[in-house]
Amino acid sequence: MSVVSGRQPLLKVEGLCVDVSIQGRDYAALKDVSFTVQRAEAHGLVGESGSGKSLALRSLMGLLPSNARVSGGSAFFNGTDLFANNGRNFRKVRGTGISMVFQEPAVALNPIARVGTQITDGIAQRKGWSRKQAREYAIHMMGLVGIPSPELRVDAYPFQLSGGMRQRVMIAASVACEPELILCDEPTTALDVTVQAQVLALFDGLRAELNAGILYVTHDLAVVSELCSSISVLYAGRLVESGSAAEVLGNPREDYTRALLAATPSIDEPGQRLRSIPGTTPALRDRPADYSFAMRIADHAPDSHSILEEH
Amino acid sequence: MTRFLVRRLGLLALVVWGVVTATFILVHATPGDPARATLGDKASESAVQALRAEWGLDQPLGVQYWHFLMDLVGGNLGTSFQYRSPIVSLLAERLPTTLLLMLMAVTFAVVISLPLATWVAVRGRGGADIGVRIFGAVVQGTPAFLTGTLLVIIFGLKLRWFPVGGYGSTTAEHLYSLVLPALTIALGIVPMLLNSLRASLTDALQSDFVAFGHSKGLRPATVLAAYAIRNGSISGVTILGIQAGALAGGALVVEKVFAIPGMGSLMLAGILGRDFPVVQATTLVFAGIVVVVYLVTDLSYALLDPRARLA
Repeated sequence: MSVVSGRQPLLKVEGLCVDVSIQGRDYAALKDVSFTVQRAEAHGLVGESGSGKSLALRSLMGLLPSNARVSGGSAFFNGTDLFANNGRNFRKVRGTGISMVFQEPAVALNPIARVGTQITDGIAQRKGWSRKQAREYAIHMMGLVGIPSPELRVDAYPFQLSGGMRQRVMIAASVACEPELILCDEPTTALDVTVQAQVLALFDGLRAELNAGILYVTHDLAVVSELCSSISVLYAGRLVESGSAAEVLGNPREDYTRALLAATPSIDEPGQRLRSIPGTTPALRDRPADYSFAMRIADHAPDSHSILEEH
Repeated sequence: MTRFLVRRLGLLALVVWGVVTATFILVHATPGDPARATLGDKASESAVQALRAEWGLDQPLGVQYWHFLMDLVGGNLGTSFQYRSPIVSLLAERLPTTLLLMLMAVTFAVVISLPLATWVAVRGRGGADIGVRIFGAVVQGTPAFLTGTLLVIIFGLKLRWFPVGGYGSTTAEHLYSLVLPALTIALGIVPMLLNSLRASLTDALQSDFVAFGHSKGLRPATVLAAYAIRNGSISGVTILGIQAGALAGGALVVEKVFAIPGMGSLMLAGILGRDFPVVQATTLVFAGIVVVVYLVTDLSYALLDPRARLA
């Protein structure tokens, strides 16, 4: 990555299309999605289940499930198109350039390997470290992400740690090689609220310290408003709105963004019933190619009334 | 761990007692008189009676059972009627052969199944998958005596790569002569092992922890070995354990087909010659092998999976 010009965005995704094949038929799960992530910036990719946000994230790592493939668009990381060169570019950037924090550390950590090993196996292989060197670095990294008495926990297995500790291990592993871009796939959904706040603070610190870009996928607008400076909102595989966090959250232009905001529980209005967006995003094979939020509202007209009126 | 072992060893003693008692009842309920079988049809009735008295067969069954049990506890397995020699020395001669045969069979089964299963799991659905499924079904449907005979015809008679029977006299000759018999037994285990490994490796390859391994920039071969295969092969150990009985039964048939002087052929000779002590002793040893294999299977879980160490 020597051809870095100062102005170049860290990650520039343009016209990303991902197709998912179900029983021999291709369905467009992501259509023409574009966004950029700058250095030392956290960008939020927001949407409900089924919006395609996780697929977008995985496509940037070359880790799509076997039935999904990138069918169009480009993703320039430091000026290199990740999708070019038949997928070989991914191998060069994984770990050192781009790393990923998975949603559920309970299933994303190797259940039968010690956590210390999992934090450092990537960097140890790259640098040819001895077991002892790797273990010392693992202890250092565990301390960095706020795991108390890391020297006692470095040899533990994932099942011996709490959910919050496991997610910290996952984060330590993802930043072990000091990546320039960290992809986060709803990393706080499996955690309780207090731990969630600590983990968000940790991400914010890493962003500032490593000067790293963060692409943060979530359905939780509260998290986004806390961490991210810019936002892209996805609905049913399409980008519906994007801009700075203040802009999008403060003055949403699209119905869908408004509905998402309205569905966020607020601590300032106690006693309120939880509001939800009527219906769900239909499964890929059950929705027309041009499916939009307006169509969902039309389908659920009677009960959708309240949520859109109140804003 | 100690409590677990003590309990399992107690269970082992109980199983062994059950097996020897059942065998004792069965051999004594089988028609045919060992003394008559040994001396032949032309021997006088008084000579037969004398031999029966010498072997203690004229005593009440309960008394015979008591003597048998007490001898067993003292480590005395009795004397063979046919060979006129202590059974312990017969076993010392035969047992290593059978153990070597079984060990080779397990090794072959693993060496055939693991690479095939990995290959198919990595390739996913398609020609390779279908081919391996058909291979498994065909092998599973072929009984051991037929598999053995076919292997003898192809590799022994046509290609002349391996001897068609016998055991040789040096260690190298022993190993060489055991290739076809061990392969015959192995093919009996392969289908189930292959199926189970294929399923669990496919699961492992699609898991988040394999994606996590890739996301750290580890070499694909490292992810396959340390993440996918290490997790996916635990199920194979279960299958090998369950197949211990099939392994012992296979040894019995295969030693007969290939004229291998092991425990199986000793047992068959014992049954045909009404050689009660030999039948009882060989059954006891086979049962012991199966029980020990079960124990080793349980212990190896703890070795392979840290989560099992607490149970």
